[in-house]
Amino acid sequence: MKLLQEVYVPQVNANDRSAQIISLNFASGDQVKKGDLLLALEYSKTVFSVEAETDGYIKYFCRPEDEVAVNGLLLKIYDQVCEPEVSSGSLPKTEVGATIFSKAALELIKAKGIDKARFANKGFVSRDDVLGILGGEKGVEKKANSSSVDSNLVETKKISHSKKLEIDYLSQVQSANMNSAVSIYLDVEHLFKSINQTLTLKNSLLPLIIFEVSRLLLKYPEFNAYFAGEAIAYYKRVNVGIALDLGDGLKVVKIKDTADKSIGEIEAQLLEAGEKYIDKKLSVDDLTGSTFTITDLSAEDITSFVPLINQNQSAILGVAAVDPRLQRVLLTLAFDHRVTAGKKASSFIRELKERIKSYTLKNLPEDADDKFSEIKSEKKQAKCYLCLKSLKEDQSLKGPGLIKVITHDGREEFICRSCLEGWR
Amino acid sequence: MTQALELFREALLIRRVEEKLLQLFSEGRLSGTIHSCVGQEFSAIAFAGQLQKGDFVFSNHRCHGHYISFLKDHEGLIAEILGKKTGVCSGIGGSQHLCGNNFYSNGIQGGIVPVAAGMALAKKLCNSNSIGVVFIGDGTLGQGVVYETMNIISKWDIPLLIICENNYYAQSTKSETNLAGDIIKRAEAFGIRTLRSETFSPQDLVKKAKESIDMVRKEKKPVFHLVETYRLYPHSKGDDHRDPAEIETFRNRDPLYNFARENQEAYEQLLIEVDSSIDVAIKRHLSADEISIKDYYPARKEEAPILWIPIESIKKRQGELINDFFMKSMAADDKVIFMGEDVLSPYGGAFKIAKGLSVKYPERVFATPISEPAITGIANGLALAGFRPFLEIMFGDFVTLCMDQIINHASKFHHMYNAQVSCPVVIRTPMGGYRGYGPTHSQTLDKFLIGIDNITTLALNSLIDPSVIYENILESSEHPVIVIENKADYAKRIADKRLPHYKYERTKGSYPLAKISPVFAKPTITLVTYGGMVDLVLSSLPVIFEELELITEVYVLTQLSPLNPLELNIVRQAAEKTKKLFVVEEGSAFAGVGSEIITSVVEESSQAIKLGRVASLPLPIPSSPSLEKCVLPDVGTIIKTIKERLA
Repeated sequence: MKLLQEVYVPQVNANDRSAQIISLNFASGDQVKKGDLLLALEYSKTVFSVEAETDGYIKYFCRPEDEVAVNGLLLKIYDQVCEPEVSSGSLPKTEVGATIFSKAALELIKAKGIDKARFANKGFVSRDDVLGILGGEKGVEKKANSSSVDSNLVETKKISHSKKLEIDYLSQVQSANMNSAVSIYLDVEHLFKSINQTLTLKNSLLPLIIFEVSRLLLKYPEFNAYFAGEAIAYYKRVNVGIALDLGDGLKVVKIKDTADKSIGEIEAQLLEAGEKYIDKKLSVDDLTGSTFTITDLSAEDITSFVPLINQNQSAILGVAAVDPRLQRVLLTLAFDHRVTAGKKASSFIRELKERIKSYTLKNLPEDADDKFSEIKSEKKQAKCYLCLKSLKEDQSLKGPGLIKVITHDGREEFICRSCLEGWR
Repeated sequence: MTQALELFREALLIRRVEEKLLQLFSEGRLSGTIHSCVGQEFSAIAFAGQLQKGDFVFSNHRCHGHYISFLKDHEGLIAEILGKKTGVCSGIGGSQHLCGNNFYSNGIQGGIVPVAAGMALAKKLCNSNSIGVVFIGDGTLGQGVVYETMNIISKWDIPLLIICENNYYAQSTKSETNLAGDIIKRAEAFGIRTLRSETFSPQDLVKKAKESIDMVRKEKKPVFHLVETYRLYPHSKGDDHRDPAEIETFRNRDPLYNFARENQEAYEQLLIEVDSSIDVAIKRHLSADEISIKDYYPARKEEAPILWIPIESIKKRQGELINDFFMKSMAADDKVIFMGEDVLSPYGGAFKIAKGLSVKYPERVFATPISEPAITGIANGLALAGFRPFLEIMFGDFVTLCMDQIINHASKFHHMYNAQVSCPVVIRTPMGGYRGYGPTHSQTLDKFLIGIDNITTLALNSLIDPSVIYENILESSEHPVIVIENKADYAKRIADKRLPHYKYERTKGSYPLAKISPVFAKPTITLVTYGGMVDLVLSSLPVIFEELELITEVYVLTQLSPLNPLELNIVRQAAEKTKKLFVVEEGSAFAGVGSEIITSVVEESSQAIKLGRVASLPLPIPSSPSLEKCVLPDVGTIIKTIKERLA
């Protein structure tokens, strides 16, 4: 009997250390075909289904409603019908048992009158963890700062002595929280006009921001990195993660190798990710491995917010909503102060702003050799269909350019800003 | 050439080879010592010279004559003693450690006797008509293992001919100084047939030797043949304080001297013939190369990469699983032999591992007398002859009785005979205290069983199915393996009780490394343990957290010696993360297994790691329950040691 596939509970995010079995779609011993959905797992923020990678006979190692720890065995697929195992009695399973409290933690819990139930499913609770609860958000989870390092993905460089001193100094004050943030306003006047003409997603800065952030990350590798105890681990690739919440909980979806992709390609992947989200088809691969995160709350009419940095990353970019009156949007870069510092973060976000601004139609270079150049030559001949003002004339009048509209009789036409606003 | 002349020619060849070697030594062209048999040559010719194809010879430090007579290869011998690659053992063995075509010699007095008995037993088990011959001297009669073996070969009807060459001296000490009673009567006391002859009458000696050989072959029983003789040269060199008049008396009785005197012309003719063939050999080999260290100590094989798999629980007790292994392997392979004291059913050994085996396989289960040195030697001999003997030593404390056979025989055979043989003997023995058995039935003596050349030392534990380990030994090991079992573990089911919050994994290799690591947290301390300590260590993990707020990961070694570099690497990487490495062992710490593990890990690391050894106190294990508890490690000792070392 040959083993063809085995499936363990995947780690899909930093917080969930176990998943619950929602349903088993077959019975042990059943024949399954490649592509069959074998079982569904529920994490705190996502539902995940497991597909057969091959034809064969299935054997489950879990039951519905079981809580199985990350890395716990879920199922195996063999090339023949599998007999029930003779020698081994109980299945190898990782138990989730009662929380173990250190003596010092218990004393503190008693002294402060904390409810022990707050530590349910924590495994080990030390005095620091209790202090963490007392101190607010810090503690229990956050201790694991010195993350493990996989040298296939990252390259590490030792932290300098002076930086270590700074970390030590700051961490005494900040406990586990060593994050800081910088914000900048981005003027979006004229910007959407050019973007909307070329991309499917209207009034969205996201593809452009992903595109430019990815290139900036090559220039500022410390934002494509994370703090790994004695060293900084630098990712070898740029995979921007997008925090998406389309009604089914927050998920960070990875867009792979964004530094090597065009805006069009990035947008296509972004749309695909959205579809997958809605169809609940996001795979583990989609949900893991991002190296920098962008969270876009522009649809939420938010003026400003400070996003939280994901595990094994050093920074996150928050995009707030466009102020309709002032035509500007607040970009906020939150960063891990142990990896970088405020000045670098300021340069990063300032440069990002400048780069994005360069896309306003009037700033497009004469011979830009990307997607915009085609549009430009076509549009150069364009005229406002009402006042017949040409693009060139609009430019000489320091106007914003022409806007594409669909007329009442269904034609696609250009209109100038004056005509559009009724200043005619 | 007449038969008599041929006899003298061969005796002269042996004598002249040794005289030439002594001459080369005095010229500084030969390294090391030789023990000459000048004066004793006819014993070699009479016994080793009259054997058949398939018969084998074991000899001792004075082995040149036996070798030449048995293999007719004075050239291989000369090259060997010159230390050359062209020698019979490529110069590794030298004068005392020869091996080739069923001939073996070793420099330890008495140790070869049970090995020869084991090989002769193998011949008997194969229904072969071949016999074994072992040469000892009167000095060897001081070794107990000789009598242990005589008892066994007599009781088990083993076709072995023991030839005792009595030259009246043990090195420089007269026999009468140390030898009580009568030599012949010693053998007779075991019910062994005895014969007696002397090298001073070669024709009669040859006739009687043939009689002995035929008797052993025909009757499949042992014979003890005493040969009176006299060594005309010193034991080695420069150590002769015998009375010259005595030597002169024996020289006048020496058949070769008398032949030379009486047949001067024939003797001269023989001498020219013999000398020229020796000179040709010396000339040919004196300029030959010596073996390179690369050939003697080739680069280690790459270890198989590490693959982790979950540990599965088994609802059977460890002892039952070992018994199952023997039931299965003895059915599948008729070369598998089970030996030990008290192993016959219904008793089935002190810990019932042999239960039922002697009923199903009576011809391959040997309940031995209480003779650890001899039974270990017999197991070695069986292994050399291609059998797969599993020897049970009833209590681990008794393993010290087997040490000569383990260190000077099983371990050395392969390398000292230049890889011509392998000795895949398996010695199993239970160690461990906590049972009130007292000082000689409780100790963990694993430290004495590590770091022995060519020997793999393993320790079973309660997490790994022992049949996996034994099957791998049977399938893959060409060399001796010592398996340390644990008395208390025999009754445990495999990976039965599991700690919450920990996952249990093991490597897929032959002798698995187990890892017990926290699921939901990063470990902050690394423990390494093995054998009977595993359950104690696992039971201490919650306490270590409660008391010290340290989250433990545990590595459990199966292979103690040699330590697997890939496993050490895993432990090192783990310890570099936690910055704390502690070893828990049941023996005492000084020069123990733990020291070796820690050194091997730390010498590869450039990081500062806090280290510690948790072990027994350096005392015999007392019987008194409360005192035994104090001497052996417990959870308290683990906590205390970690606390002190980290303070």
